Amino acid sequence: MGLRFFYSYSIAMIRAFSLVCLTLGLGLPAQAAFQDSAATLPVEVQEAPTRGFSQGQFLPDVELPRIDGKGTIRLRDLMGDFEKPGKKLLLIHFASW
Amino acid sequence: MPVWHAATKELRESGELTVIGIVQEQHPERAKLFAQWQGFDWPILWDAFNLLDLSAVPIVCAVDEYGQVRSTRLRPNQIDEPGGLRAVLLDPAFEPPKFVAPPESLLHQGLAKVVGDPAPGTPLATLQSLAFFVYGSRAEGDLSASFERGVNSLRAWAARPEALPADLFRLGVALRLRYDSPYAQESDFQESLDAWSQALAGNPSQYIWRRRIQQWGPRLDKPYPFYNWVDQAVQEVTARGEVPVALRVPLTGSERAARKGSKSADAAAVEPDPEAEIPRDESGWLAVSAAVAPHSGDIGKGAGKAAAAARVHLSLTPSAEASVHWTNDAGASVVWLDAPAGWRVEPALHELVPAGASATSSEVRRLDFGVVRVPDAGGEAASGPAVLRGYVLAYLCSGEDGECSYLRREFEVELPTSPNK
Repeated sequence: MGLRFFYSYSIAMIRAFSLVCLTLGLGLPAQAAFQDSAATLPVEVQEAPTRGFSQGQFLPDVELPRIDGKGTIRLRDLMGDFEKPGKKLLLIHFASW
Repeated sequence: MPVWHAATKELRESGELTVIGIVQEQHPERAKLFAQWQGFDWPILWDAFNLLDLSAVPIVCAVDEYGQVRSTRLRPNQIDEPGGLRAVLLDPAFEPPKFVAPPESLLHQGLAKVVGDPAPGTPLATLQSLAFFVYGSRAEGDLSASFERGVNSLRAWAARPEALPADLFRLGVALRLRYDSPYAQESDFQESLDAWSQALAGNPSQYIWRRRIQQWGPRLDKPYPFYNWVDQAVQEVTARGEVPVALRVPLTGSERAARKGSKSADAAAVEPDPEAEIPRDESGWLAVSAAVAPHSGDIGKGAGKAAAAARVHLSLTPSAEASVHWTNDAGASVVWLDAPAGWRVEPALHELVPAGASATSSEVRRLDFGVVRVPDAGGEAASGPAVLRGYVLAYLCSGEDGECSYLRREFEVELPTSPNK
């Protein structure tokens, strides 16, 4: 946990520094620093994750009604977060025809 | 899906796995009957508007505890095999994602949150309309104004020059929902088919949209029977001592039909009133309206190569203004169809059996049938405008103790003449 915190904190600091440098017209050195760091990141890290149902994507945040009339389910509520993982899920898209 | 249901039974019961279904079809109660028949005990969601932007079903997604899709290529018979559900999803301990989730699109973000009365054609009005159709209205009583506002808003959104094919598809879904409601307007069904056809022309690889047209389309265009399982489901559910889920919208012949070749088996049909001797319905006791579902292969690019065919859906409505009703004890209604040159109708003669056991009734009666272009002796298919003519022979009465007649009501249906109708 501590290692992950340090890791996230480092990335945030690099980004903040990069933003400040860009604002001050110092883009190139700051970008180079960020890219050096990014090159060492684990491959699983996604900087700009997309939403959808293809492998690697994250569930979209859509709320849909149940066909049995028992309210709605919001897909995002099925997802966990840093503190509390959700449940492993099999999502079956189908039609009765 | 029954195989996935069986394959994951122990995993669901042990709490190791959550299963959720999402159906991509117009009528949720049909999926509900299917789930009852198959004994599905997991939640199933309804996405008639395809808000999830899927282009085909079935798709089975293994999703980890942080919401990331880990696989879409699993097989139900390989749960414990290498590369199966256990290896791909259940056994690994995944790390939480190391990012802040990006903001959602306006559609996903705001669907249920719009209040007030935004102008039609605006994003907010579109969201408000979709929310009405997806979640229903909190208001009770007459919802005709809500349906009207919802359809008009989606129509305005889909009419923008920069509109997407998905906007047209969703307009079609809303129109069909209104057609199946007490607030139906005569043109709703045809307009929904037209909107879906335009959407498919803009994105021919969208198979969920294509299926929506084929559901009501000609038999030549059926990839498989859509709802031929319903009778068996009702019988088996009833035999189990359960009450089967009632279908709010009756199935049409097209929805039950299997794919069929172009050969006709209707040569023996005899026209019931060839000399027009039965009195015509001069008072407008019976209204006849039609919607024509095209062959999806006739839509968009490549049209003209596919077999030209269509499915015609007729609605026969006794005049409420004149308190007209069917007199079922007098006999069945009959519909005769006279195909124009270059077309064949399948079949030409239809008998509409009274829907209930009561002596009289005033329901809307529906009939659907296929029409197929046929080549002439030289092998050339017909082209240009074509009109199918037909008539209904029906026993009708006006008022409780009023006049009763056996009447002939004639009608015409314009058949598709170009790829997009």
